[in-house]
Amino acid sequence: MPDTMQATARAVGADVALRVESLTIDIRTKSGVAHIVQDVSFTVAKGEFVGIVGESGSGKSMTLMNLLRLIDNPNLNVSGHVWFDGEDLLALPAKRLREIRGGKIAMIFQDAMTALTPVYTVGWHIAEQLRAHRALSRRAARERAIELLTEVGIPSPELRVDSFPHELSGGMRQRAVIAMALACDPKVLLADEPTTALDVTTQAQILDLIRRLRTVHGSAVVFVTHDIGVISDSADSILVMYAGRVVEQGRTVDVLAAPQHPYTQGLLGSIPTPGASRLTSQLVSIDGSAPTPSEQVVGCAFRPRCAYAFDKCFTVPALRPREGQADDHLDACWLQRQAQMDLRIEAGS
Amino acid sequence: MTSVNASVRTPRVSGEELLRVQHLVKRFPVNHRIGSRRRELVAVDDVSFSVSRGETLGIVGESGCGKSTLARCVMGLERPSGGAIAIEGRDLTTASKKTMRSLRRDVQMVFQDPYDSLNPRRRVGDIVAEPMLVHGLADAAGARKEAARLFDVVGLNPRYLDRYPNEFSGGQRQRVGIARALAAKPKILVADEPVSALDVSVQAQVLNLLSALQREFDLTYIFVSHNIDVVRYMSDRIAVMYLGRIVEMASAADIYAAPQHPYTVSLLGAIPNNLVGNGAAAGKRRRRIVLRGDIPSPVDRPSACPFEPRCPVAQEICRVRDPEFRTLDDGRYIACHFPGSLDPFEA
Repeated sequence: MPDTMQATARAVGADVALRVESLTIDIRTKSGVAHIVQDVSFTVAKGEFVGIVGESGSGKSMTLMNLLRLIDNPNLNVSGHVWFDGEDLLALPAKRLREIRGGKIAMIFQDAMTALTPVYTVGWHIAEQLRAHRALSRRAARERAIELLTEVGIPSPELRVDSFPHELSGGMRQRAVIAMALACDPKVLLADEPTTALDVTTQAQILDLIRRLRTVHGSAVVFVTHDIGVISDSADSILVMYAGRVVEQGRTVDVLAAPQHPYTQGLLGSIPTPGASRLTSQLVSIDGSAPTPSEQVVGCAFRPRCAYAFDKCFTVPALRPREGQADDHLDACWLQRQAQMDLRIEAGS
Repeated sequence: MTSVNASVRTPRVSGEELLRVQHLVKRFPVNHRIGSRRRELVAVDDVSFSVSRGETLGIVGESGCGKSTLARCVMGLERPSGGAIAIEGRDLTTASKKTMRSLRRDVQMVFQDPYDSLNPRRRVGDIVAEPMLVHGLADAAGARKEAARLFDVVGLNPRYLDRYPNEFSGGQRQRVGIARALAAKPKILVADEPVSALDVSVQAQVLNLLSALQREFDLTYIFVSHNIDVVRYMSDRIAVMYLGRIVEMASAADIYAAPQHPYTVSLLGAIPNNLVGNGAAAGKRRRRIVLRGDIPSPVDRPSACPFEPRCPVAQEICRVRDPEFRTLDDGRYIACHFPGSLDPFEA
């Protein structure tokens, strides 16, 4: 989507597909309350591809799952708002929510094998979606299932429609799951690491497919991944999560070209860039590891690992734009840009 | 926190051959129904290469390409079905038990999963000391002292020697695994996907540590991974595997700058990476290539070139005749009838 269109989409409410406001998720455990997601807000414009990047325990998957209230656990406390079509998904009665799940908002999971029931055929899975949300006859549902399998690029779909999940390869299974998700022409497609379990060449196929379908169906995509590289050429905008909070967000080009938060900078520096060799460049490593949700860090959660931490970091910084950066490029760091540059030069000398 | 500081360096590859693998084959029997033809899975099919002292050979490929089986054969964990593996001229496949023991010491392994590869019921100090005791390198007290030193080398606090694996994070466990591998004073370190199970921000710590250790102890690495960028970063030479074969082997720089085998080209073209223009030379853009289909099963291999069914530039001869593994003029090895026919860069 062109930048100007996207900027307008953000401004005009009618072009918003999904708006998340102050999503906060706590879980009660034996050792107290763990804050797994704190105050996460973002907007997904119609047809936009939003990437959420974070490491294990960053709360990225919890955020995604709870947009549709997919986790049913009495110890889980979810607050905030998820606005879709003028309704708050977090406040909807279960029956109404069921109409939206799979119908208007669909989901693709990381492990396609567990997302499919092993005792039913691929065709049955897709037909189930159609029969739940559209009043289709069995025959019509089956025909539509074959069409969908064709669309996602499964060879000989009229045979594969009767295959069981174990008869398909990993990439084919993920295609079948995508066909299920597309069955009802969703407005929003939620994807939780859909390519992580796949090989590199298969991953390229699936990313290609998601991109193509997005153009054809005009669905918005929210794509969760631990690998910023995977979405670097697909996502319109990126959210970087760390220890349950968004630490940086903005348009992909802005975030990749000028990452502002020390964590984002470290994340980009710790991946070998294509063609880089240990003989000519050293990877920037971030010391230590991310805190678990039960470890409460006072102030900024990245402080214990941050090379630039100072006294102000004992208070949690708010997400805000920076001078000289785009208005929609936000980061949560106390450090002044100039101070950061000076420190880096000092460290380098 | 890394106690040995990695810095920019030139490789100390001596040119002296340390490891030679010749026509290595590893087949596994596959469960078969009574009355049907007996079937075999060919995991490694006629693989040959050699590694010089101080060098890193990277092995890259997708799941099922045989890279892990190859690593395990070199480790002596799998008995090859055919071919030879020689370390400093001593053949691993025909070695006596006694020679085998010393050969095992020469090759040590860093495993993929730092959770499964450490015994949860043993203290990490004992885990690191064990190889020294097994190989008679030290007595109990000496081994403990050496374990403390190794902890320091890999960037762990020696005070943690009496802790159990579950008290460490993934990255720290991988450091324990590396300390254990170093304890036997190996000549070759085989690292099989050593960072795949780690968080991105922790991967760099382990890669930097492995680079620093190589320089400090003059180690020879066989670095196995599915991630070609990581392999390129760590390696002097790269072998690209597909369906049990090495399809292309060349210097890491050549593989990136001028890949010749269509599979190598596709692998590089599949990296969804917009971070820095995908490693292509200035002014060039790497072509995005999406291959059709999946990797065939190693049980049902294509009869001729293994890559032919997915190859964008395959011709009639590729379906009929298996390309032999040969040397090109620039010294690279390749198994393709039409090397260089798939342009890696956009026009």
